Amino acid sequence: MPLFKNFFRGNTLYYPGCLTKFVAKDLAENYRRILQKIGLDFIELPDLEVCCGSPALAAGYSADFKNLAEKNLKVFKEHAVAKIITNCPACFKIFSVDYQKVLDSNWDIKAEHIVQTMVNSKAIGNWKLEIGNSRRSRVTYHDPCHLGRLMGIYDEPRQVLKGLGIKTKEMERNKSYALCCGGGGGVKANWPELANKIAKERIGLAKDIGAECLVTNCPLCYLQLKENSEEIEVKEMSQLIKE
Amino acid sequence: MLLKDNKKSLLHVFDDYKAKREKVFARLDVEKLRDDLHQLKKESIKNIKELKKQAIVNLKNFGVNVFEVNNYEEAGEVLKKLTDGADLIVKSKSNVINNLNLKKVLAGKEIIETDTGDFLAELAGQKGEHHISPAVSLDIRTIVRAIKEKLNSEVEENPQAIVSFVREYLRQKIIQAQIGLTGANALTTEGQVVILENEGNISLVSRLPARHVVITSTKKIVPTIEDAMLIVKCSAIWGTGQAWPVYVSIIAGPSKTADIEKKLITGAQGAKEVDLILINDHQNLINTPFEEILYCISCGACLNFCPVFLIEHEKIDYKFANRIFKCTLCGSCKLNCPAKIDLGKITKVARAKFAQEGKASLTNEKMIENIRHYGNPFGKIDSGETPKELFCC
Repeated sequence: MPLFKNFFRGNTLYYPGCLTKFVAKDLAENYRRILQKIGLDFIELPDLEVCCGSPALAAGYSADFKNLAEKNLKVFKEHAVAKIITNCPACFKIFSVDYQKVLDSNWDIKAEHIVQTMVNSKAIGNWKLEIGNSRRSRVTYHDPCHLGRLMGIYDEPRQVLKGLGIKTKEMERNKSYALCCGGGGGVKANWPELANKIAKERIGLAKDIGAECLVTNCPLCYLQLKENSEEIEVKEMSQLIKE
Repeated sequence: MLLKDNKKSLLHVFDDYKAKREKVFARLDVEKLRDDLHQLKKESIKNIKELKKQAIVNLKNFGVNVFEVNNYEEAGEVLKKLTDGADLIVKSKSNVINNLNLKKVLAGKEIIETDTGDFLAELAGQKGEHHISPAVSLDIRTIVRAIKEKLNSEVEENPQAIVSFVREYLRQKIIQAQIGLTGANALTTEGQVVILENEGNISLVSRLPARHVVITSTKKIVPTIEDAMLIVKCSAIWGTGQAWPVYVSIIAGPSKTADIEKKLITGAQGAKEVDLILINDHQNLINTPFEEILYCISCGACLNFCPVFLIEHEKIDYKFANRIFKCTLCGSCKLNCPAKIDLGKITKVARAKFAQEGKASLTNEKMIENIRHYGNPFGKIDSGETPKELFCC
């Protein structure tokens, strides 16, 4: 129990985010396993935590957003959370940037995207992969907007893929120029046709470089691109790693 | 709206632009340039009243007739008076003029658009929404067909032939026109109108007709000509990926000469009269969360990388609920804005305004109700079930 450690600095919370928790549930399983492989102690609060508020903020419900932030702060503080690890780039941005704006100095919890946790683990080089040898050099990486452009995390995902033994080929629009999957900002829910057309453009860029597999690490990008993938295989990063 | 039935991908249309721009970026401190532009626009908007006062005094000293108006309607009325008696008017591309409903204001007169892209888009019966590349979604066949149908001329299906045709056609019109109508990229408190271009049409439109009428907005005023050159530089880099444009016009009043017995004659080889219709528009945006909109220099870079423009060929516009909710909040616009306008933030503020007015979509209302009742955007989820609608993120 972490509480009895000499230098207890608080709990680390794994926060999968609503999309992973309720829709892409296999990803949550994968990431729990990955955190265990890394050897990290973490807690989960599935019945107590609420939505981070990203969809509310994006849709213009700022009072609701603040309300969610306050609820989460209370729950997190009650459980001595000092750090949050999430695999959702939108939640990651909300915890890293937006909570401070509505909670001021009351928000002092560090947030980390799980790719940052993974990049610091020396263990990953030994992990077995779910992707055949021949495909390992035909992989491309899609930068999720919330992780790349909005949070500046471009190198870590590429380093993790490299560490896993995967050689990535870069698409025409990558890193800060990455083309959105089309799903963000509520567009997937409100304008699905538009969202799908954008996703198909993204898939087209992967095809242009002869990629057979597109890897990303945002649950929304993953679901959205997978739905529009045509002959390209779309994988969420955690799905590359064998149990 | 463009190409409803013939939509093609714009994805690679801006590849050359991006490559050119990156070469220019490599020689510059891009972040410093962006910060400088942001600061210049911010300060100028903050002091807009004082700058305007100085600008008007100095423009008048240079012999420019200044007409200050409060809205586009009044601008239209002034323009109507100024163009009284003229039957052919040539104009250059201008976002401010686009807001005027020229066809109505100048009813009965022939108005010729002289920007190649706008001229062709208009000929093909389409309204280009891209500031810099209005014909970006026109294909060459549509252009050739439009020239044949509207101007009764056969033109080969290649860009060179089309441009030569446009050059000859427009030259005749510009020479015959009594009035040349342009916008401005910047105005200075020192009394200069600054306009940049690559085609050369603006130089001709502003100099060949006897009268040059400039219509622009007070938001374009900056203190000095050096400041105006920062706008020119950024417009070129972010607009077309060039370090500098082909032409920059600095217009300080009508043309003049004192070559004959040192007697100053106004109206030499360029325009004989210069009028400026200065619109006090957007005053209601100052000191609001929308103020940064006024920092826009209309380079169009935000659109070049916008995933929604790519598909819809329409701008995300904070004024319309049906457009603002289409933004994916991907952040490309802010990163590609030379003035560092935080359009994502503006989108969220606009959405909040529409949500408060009850103009949010049913989907969003459902999403927020779910969050309020169940703490997640999907609603009540029974164990073992997976929500079908992705109300995220």
